[in-house]
Amino acid sequence: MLANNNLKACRTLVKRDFRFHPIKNGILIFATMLVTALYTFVFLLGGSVKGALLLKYQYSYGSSSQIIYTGLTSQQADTIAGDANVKSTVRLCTIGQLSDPMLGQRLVKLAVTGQDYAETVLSIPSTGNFPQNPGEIALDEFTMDSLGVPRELGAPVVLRWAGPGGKVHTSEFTLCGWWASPTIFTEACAWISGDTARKLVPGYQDKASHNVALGVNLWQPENLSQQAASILEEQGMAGINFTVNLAYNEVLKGQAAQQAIPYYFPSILVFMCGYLMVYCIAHVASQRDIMYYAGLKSLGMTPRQMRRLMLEQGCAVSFLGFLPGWALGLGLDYVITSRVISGMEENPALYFLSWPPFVMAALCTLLTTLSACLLPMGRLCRMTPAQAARSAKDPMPRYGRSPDGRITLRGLALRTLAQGRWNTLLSALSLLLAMVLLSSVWIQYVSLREDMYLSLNSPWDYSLVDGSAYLSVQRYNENNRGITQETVEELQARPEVTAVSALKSREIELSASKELQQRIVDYYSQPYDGTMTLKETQAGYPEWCAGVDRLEQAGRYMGLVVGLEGAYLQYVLDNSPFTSGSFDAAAFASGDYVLAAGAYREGISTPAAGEPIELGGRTYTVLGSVMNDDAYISGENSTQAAFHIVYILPLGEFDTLFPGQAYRQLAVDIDLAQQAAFEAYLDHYEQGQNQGMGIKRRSEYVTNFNVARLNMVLPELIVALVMLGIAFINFANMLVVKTVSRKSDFAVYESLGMTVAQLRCLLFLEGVLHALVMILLLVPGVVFFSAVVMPAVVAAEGSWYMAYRFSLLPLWAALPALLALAVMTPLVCLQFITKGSLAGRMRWGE
Amino acid sequence: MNTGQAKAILVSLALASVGLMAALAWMLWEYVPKASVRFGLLSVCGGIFLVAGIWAAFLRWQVSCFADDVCETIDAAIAGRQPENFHPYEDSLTAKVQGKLMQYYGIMQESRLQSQQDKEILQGLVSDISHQVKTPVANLRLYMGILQKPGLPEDKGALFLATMEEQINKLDFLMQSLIKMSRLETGTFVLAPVEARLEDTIAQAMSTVWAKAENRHIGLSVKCTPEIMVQHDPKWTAEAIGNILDNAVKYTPAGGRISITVRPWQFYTRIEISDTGIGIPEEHYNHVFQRFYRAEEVATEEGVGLGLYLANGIITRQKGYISVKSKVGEGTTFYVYLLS
Amino acid sequence: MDIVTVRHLQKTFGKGESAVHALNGIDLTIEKGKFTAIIGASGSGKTTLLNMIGGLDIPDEGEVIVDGINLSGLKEKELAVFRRSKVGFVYQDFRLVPTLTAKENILFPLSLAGTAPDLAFFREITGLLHLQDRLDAFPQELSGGGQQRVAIARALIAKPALLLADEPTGNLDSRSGQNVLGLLKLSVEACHQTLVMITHNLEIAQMAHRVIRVEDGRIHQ
Repeated sequence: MLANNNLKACRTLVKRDFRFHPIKNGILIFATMLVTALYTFVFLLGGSVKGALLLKYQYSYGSSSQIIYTGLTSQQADTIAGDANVKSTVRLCTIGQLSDPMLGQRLVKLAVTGQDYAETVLSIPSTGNFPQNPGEIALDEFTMDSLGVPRELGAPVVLRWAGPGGKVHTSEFTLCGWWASPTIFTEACAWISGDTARKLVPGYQDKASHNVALGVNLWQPENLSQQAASILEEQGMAGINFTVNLAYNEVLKGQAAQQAIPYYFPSILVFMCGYLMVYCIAHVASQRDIMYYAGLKSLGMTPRQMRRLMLEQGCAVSFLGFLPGWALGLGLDYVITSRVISGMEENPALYFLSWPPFVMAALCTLLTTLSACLLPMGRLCRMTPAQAARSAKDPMPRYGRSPDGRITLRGLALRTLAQGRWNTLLSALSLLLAMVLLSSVWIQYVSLREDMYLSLNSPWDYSLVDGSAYLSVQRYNENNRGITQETVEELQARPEVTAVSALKSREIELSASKELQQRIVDYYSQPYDGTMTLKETQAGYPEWCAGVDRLEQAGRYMGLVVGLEGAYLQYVLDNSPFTSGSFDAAAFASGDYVLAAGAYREGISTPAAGEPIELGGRTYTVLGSVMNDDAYISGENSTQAAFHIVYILPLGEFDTLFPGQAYRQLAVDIDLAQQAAFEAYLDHYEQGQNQGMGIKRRSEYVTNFNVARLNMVLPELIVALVMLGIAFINFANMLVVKTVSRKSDFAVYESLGMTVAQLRCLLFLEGVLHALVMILLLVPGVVFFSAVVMPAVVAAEGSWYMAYRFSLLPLWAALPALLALAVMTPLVCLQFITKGSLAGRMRWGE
Repeated sequence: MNTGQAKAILVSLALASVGLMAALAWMLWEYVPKASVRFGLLSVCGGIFLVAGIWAAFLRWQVSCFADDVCETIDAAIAGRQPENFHPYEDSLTAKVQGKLMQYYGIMQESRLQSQQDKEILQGLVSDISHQVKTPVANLRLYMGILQKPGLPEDKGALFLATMEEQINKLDFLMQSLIKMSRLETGTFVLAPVEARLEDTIAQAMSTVWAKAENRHIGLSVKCTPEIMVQHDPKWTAEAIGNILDNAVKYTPAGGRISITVRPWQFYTRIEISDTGIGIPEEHYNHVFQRFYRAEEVATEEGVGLGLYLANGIITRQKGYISVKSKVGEGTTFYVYLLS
Repeated sequence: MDIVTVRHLQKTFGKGESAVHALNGIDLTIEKGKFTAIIGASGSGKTTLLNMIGGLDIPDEGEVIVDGINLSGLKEKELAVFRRSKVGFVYQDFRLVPTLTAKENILFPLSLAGTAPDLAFFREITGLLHLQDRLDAFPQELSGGGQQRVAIARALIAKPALLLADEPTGNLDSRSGQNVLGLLKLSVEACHQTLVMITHNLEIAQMAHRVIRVEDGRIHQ
């Protein structure tokens, strides 16, 4: 069957519709623009979150290359670079590895400058530049802090490094540049120039020396380890070491996608609300529209043409809304994403910008708009014109008729309200939806409790931490002297300070008694859930496992002796429940007793109360054992001490055991009235000191918390606000259509002797009635939702610093705006439609 | 487009596709090192080519189906039966063309039926004519026989001759009417509409009945402004109006009045001819314009029932029309609408 | 030869007590090429009957056969084609498409059918209806009579076999009414069309070949 080509008429009708109803279509375009913007924003944000997670994996891998082959000769590197599957390569020539123990878990390579490679590992000096002259070196800030290198160009750097054979050298360099490497990097490079390298290892460029690392990107980054191995096999070089980037791991990719899913959830809301809004706007003048379509049908328009008409209308509106919608969505994304994803130097909105979210947004908008336009059409298509025309006539309600046949303004206004009741209801529904959404976001926001957050994260006003223990990935350098006795005394002398508490720590190797050994092995062998033991849950931390194995086999383990006082002791007592024994202040203060702290779980995983323990040659009695909440200890311990038992002593006793050791951290409480003065002092102090110490302030936590709290709800808040905006527009549009479509009716009223004042009164009454209906629907709905549903939602989120709090603030804020809109819109419309002569206006309706 | 051109286009298309395929193959073998990718691309391109080919074949098949359907419809029309697979209200090209063909066939059928009907009417006409002619001819023969008898008194002879003349006039009138009617029916009737003053035409029409009206003491009045110009054939329009007037005079009792009023409208100019005659019952409104229709009440009056039929024919030919409104016993109004 | 055959037509609007029997068993045939007038009081079911004949509405019971095809057997999409190819409608309230110019309105049935317009015929009709100068005007810029003439031109343009007019003269003064009527009659005779017209005007009804009186949903001969 050759189809009849008769769809051109539809396009003319659509074009004319745009010309004849610019306001309706303008509002439609505006709504689709907002919907597109929201979709774009949601998808961009979701994409950015996923990208950020993958980037995080990449960072923890330390490179953006997909595979890194190490220990190649330059010839082998050339061979791999020539493989057909390889897209691009970057090359690094390592001459050794820093072996200073202070670097902790971080692996720092001493390498010859390679610009390309440096880019893939984000190690380009931001201050100073790459080494050019012999003896120069460029380092990252963490390495510098761990090594105690001051941040000034030309500073001398003494490095211990291990050459290819494992031989340890000590060399002296001058600092020529540094950069801030991302906090989660576990690998870093120390750049030196080729000349320097030649001096250090004369034969490093020999063909035979296996010192080249090759970063490889493949055409198809799937099953990386398999591909990496097969490349080696193909080139006949099996046995070469390689590592693959975690970011390309299928499981991790899936995990990242999984974690980003909640950020895509708002798109469902956008679809639901968007559908409702577009439907409302498109069909608010349904009676007029149905008559129009019935007329077209009676002239012989086929259902196919009707569908085409709506399709073209929907497409036109959508396409016009796309560009501004994308722009707006991008703008929102630009502002919001950088707040949601923190810790990046570039703006993540631009860094993760890609085209698929835009296409997705466009498709989703099209879907939303078309389904809103087409679905109601289906019914109309199946009806004959006469049926359609009958269905357009809303039966008048039977209530509210006065017995004597006279009608008041109030009665007239009620009739108007009843006449478009479905539209009113629909409009109310979309308002309700937007309002519920906003309320839920608001309640989530106010349920995030600052006090709960701070009590755990910053129990004291200020923390002063040794420079080597400032970050959680840094290993605390026991020999560092960032905080000394003088610092403590100076602080205590400040008038603002009310209390200073100090903490020192030291790792020592201990041997366990048979009994303790057995107890700990039993403890970690207990089942965790049905499938694995407690120990097996820690399989991801091989060093920890090694520590436990050592205890099991050799009976040796690491002990962390912690000397503390004041606030720190109080914190331990408050947050670490006793598993045996109890606290006795006098006994503890005497110095003969220690507290043993083990795993944060029921059961004793340490020496128990009353048992003796020998530390540094002195024997103590265990006063009690606790479940260790070690959040108060800053920094990381050595790798050997990944598994350790903490022994807590009074600070004085620690000093007698290990005299001369500097402080690991200080807890400072001040008189908050004089905070400004103290802050100024700290700023001054921070500048004067040379990076030996870090300061954590409670005010920073407060700021961080407030920012984080806002950021948590921001995406949904934006969606909710825009939805509310669309709902308001929709409501206003309904009122405008209701008023303007009765232009000729009003002219008739006037011709029958109604004064303009009465007309105004009528419209005022109508506005108030509409507002009342809205309020009657909104208030119970929102109150019910906030009071009954939200507690469960907040509980389900399960954050420890979240506690449900009832609030109706958004509702109270929106209601006056709603009332004003309901009253003002018809009155403003009246100004426009009472222009011109009565006769002219009466004819308008024909 | 002739066959040669079509052939040339086909050949060049074939050459172009072969060339493109060759270029594709060359590019694949030259620049794509992996055999699997090469064959994959080749097979995808081949697939696209195949799909395009199938699509072309499908279109061809559709067009031939379309042609078959059209031929079948024409065959059915020739054979005078309903075509097979006739779905007149499908939204397809076939249905559209079939619909048009059937419409044409319907109109042709209609006119065939019309001519059939005309033939029957003609037969009726012949019998009508013979009937109409029979009486005067018989009368004439009778009077002729009497006149041929010798010894007829002079005054009697003169009376018979007068009667005979009357009969001959009647025959003449009948002949004239028949000629006009036959010309009207056969369409050989040529109207020459010109922009002319309506007043003159009405005056001409009135001149034919003036004497008769005078005789019966019937008042004639005309309301027509001289500037009214209407596109019409003055001679024949006068004839038509004259016929209506003649009727009016005939059926208006002595002392009655006949008035003509002309009103120019947007599309039509209305000529209102009202009398104070016997009137026409509502159920006969349509009949008065039929051939040889004579109301039973007026059987005594002379006439053949062709006047109004002729008037209607003439006016309709000029894209005008006539309507009538009447009340029995009070009078009749004929409206003649002429296209302005 | 009958173009329209209507059998036992029934239609009820509403339910229960407020039910209105718009059509109550109508049997009717309409002869091809003739002018049939339907008269009757308001609310007697005339318009419903006309809607049924034109395929605008579906009867509860009974059948409508137009040109040999039973309308109750047609789907909505086929009915649409039926409407635009077989029937020309002239309504009392014109029902022009407000967003199209007079010319587009007239040619709209052809646009819907995807047919190229017969331009000579278009010129003939618009000339006859004195519309040549107003072809680019939108309906709201035309007078009532002008709109009605556009509506008539629209009904005629596809040369439908059946012309249905629902009080085409109702909204016009008697003079314009006569004009409209004459034009309708003229075109019907020229194109061998069948005209079915609802009217209140007996003067107009008397010009019809046949007058059907509808009372309370029944034919009253």
